[in-house]
Amino acid sequence: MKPPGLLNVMRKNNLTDRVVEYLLKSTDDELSSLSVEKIAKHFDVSVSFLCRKFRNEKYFTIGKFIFKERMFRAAQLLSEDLNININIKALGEKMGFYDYDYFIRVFKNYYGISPSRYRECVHKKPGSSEAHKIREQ
Amino acid sequence: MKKNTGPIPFHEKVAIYILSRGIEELGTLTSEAVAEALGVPLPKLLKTFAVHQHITLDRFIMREKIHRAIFTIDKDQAVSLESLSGKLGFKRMDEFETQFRNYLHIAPHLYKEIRRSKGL
Repeated sequence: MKPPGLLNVMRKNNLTDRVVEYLLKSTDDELSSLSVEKIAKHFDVSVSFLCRKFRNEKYFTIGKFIFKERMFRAAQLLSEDLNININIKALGEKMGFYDYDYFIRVFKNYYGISPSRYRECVHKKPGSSEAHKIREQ
Repeated sequence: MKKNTGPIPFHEKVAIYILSRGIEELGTLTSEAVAEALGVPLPKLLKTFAVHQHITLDRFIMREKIHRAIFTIDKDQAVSLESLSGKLGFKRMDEFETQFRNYLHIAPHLYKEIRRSKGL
């Protein structure tokens, strides 16, 4: 059921915070298929209203926020011991990146290294002689 | 685990060095310390990193600190934000809150609440 008019207006006042909360609460599967259109529909607002409000209040586009959260979750999954052998392609798909090459490119752009290298380095023990190894290469 | 082969570009070595630090090492990490550890002059390091990674080294380190904060909260919702902030090298709690909010657009204690309510 749609909220009544006044309540809807009141809710729109802190809409962006609720959108952030909604995104952060979403499961990996939900996040992978999330779009600005779906979020707008969920909060019963237009896409243009949502985008404008988010940009004006957070100084960031909602699309970028979704992207950043996907990148972050991908890195988080890579850093978990449980996923030490996870297939990178499958991981990308889990986060909604169905084009493997695109996933590798955007991950590298964001973290500075490829997902497989990221996994290698986060699983190195703190205090290892990484600096020396790097200098020797 | 599949190994990467081939020489690692310098800017990637810098990212690897930072990402493989433990949380407390990261807390005291500065651009100067990275330059010293990798044996390169600081100006060269800063320039090369920014050109290739499209982010300044200081911002990269800060972003990684916030990532670690989020990882830690996700793993242990009983963690004290004050102690986490201290471990990550923030001298004041409000400095940590500002950086956290800049990254996630939400205060750390609210994030903790969200994670708790999500039951992760």
